[in-house]
Amino acid sequence: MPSGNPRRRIDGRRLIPALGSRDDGSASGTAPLLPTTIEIARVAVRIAIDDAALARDVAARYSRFLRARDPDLTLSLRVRASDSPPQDDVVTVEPRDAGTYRLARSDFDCDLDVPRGRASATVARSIYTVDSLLRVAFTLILAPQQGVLLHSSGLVQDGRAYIFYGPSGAGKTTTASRGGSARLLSDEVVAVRRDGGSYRAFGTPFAGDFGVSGEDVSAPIAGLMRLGRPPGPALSRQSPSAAVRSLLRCVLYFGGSEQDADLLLSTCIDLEAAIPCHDLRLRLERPLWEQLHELG
Amino acid sequence: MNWDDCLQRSKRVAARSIGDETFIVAPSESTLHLLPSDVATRIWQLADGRHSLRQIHAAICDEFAVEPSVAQADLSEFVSSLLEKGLATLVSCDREEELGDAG
Repeated sequence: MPSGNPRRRIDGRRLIPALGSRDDGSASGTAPLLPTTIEIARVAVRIAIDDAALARDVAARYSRFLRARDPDLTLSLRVRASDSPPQDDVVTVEPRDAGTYRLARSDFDCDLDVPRGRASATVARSIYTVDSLLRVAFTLILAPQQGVLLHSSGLVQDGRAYIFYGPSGAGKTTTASRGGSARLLSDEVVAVRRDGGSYRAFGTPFAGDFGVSGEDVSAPIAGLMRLGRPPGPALSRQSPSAAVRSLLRCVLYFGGSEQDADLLLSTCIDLEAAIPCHDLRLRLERPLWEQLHELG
Repeated sequence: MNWDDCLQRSKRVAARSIGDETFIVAPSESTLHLLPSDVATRIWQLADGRHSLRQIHAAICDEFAVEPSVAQADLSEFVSSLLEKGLATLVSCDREEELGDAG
C-alpha cells in the first residue's frame, strides 16, 4: 500500500554514495569542495576548495574573471591544517611525464596535469598562496598555447593593447595609471598568447603592490614597450636580439622541462617577430597617448 | 683541461640564436643565459660532442681575426664558464658513436 508521502526520485545517482567517493574526479568526499571557475587568457580553471572562507576570498579576488562554463582544468585545493606563512619565495617546478609537473613552495604543493586538465594541491589558508600557485600554474598551462605571462602593465585603448614592461621601478604601475579612459589589463602581469596570425593580450587578476585587479578584457597587441627614462628618443625600435633578451627577462618563468624551455624561447622569438618592441622614455609632462601616437 | 676532449653542450637546456647572440634557458635553474658575441655563439654551435677543443680553437682562429694565443685563453675561460654553469661537458671524443644526434 502506498504511503501518503511521494517517493523522492534518485535520478540515477547512488542512494548512498560510498564513503570517500570522489564527486569531481579529484577530491575526497570527506569535506565539501566549493567551486569557482575563473577564466584567464581563454583558459577556464575550476577551483574547488575545502575551506569556505578561502573559497569566498578566491571568489572575491577573481570576481572580474568568473565564468559559468566547463573548465579546461580543475584545480582541487585542500587547506593545510597549519597556517604557517610562506618561509621563502623559492618555487620548484619538477617536470614529470609530458605536461605533468610537481609544483612546490613552502606554502603549497601541487600536482599539475595539463593534458588531462586536472591538478590537486595542498595550500596554506591564504589568498596570496592561491594567487602565487595560479601564477605558476598558468605559465605552464599557457605554454602549449604559445602563451606567456609577462611581468608588465597593460592598457587597452581603441581596441588595441599596449604593454609596458621593465625592471621593478621602471614605471609600469605609473604608466598604467596614466591611461585615462583606457581599460586596465593589469598593473603587474599581462597574459599574452598567440591568436591566429598574431598575438593577443589578456587582462589578469594578478595584482601588484596596490592590489588592483586587471579587467577581463583582451585585444590584439599594438606594441610592446620597455620602459626607460629620458634622455633619449621617446620611442625607438629595439633590435630583434635586444627585444628577445628584454622579453625573456620579463617573462614569468619558474622552470619546467627542456621542451617547455624550448617553447618559451620559440614563443618569445615569434612574439618579437610579430609585434614591434620599443624602448619608451616617457615624458611625464606629456599625455601618455600623445607619446604613443607613432605606433599608429 | 684536455684539449683533445670534445665539448658537448647540455641536452637539458634550450637554446636559440638570433643574429650574433645565443639565448640559453636552463629549466633546472629557471635561468636565462646569454652568449653575447658571434665567437661565443660559434663555439656553442661547435659544441656538438664531435669537435675537440683543439678543433674548435682551430675553427675560431680560421674564422675570426684573432691571435691563436688570445683565442686559446678566451676559449679556455669561456669553456670553463660553460662547465661551471652546467651548460656543457667535456667528453672523450672516442664516445662519438655513442652520442648519436647531439642536437
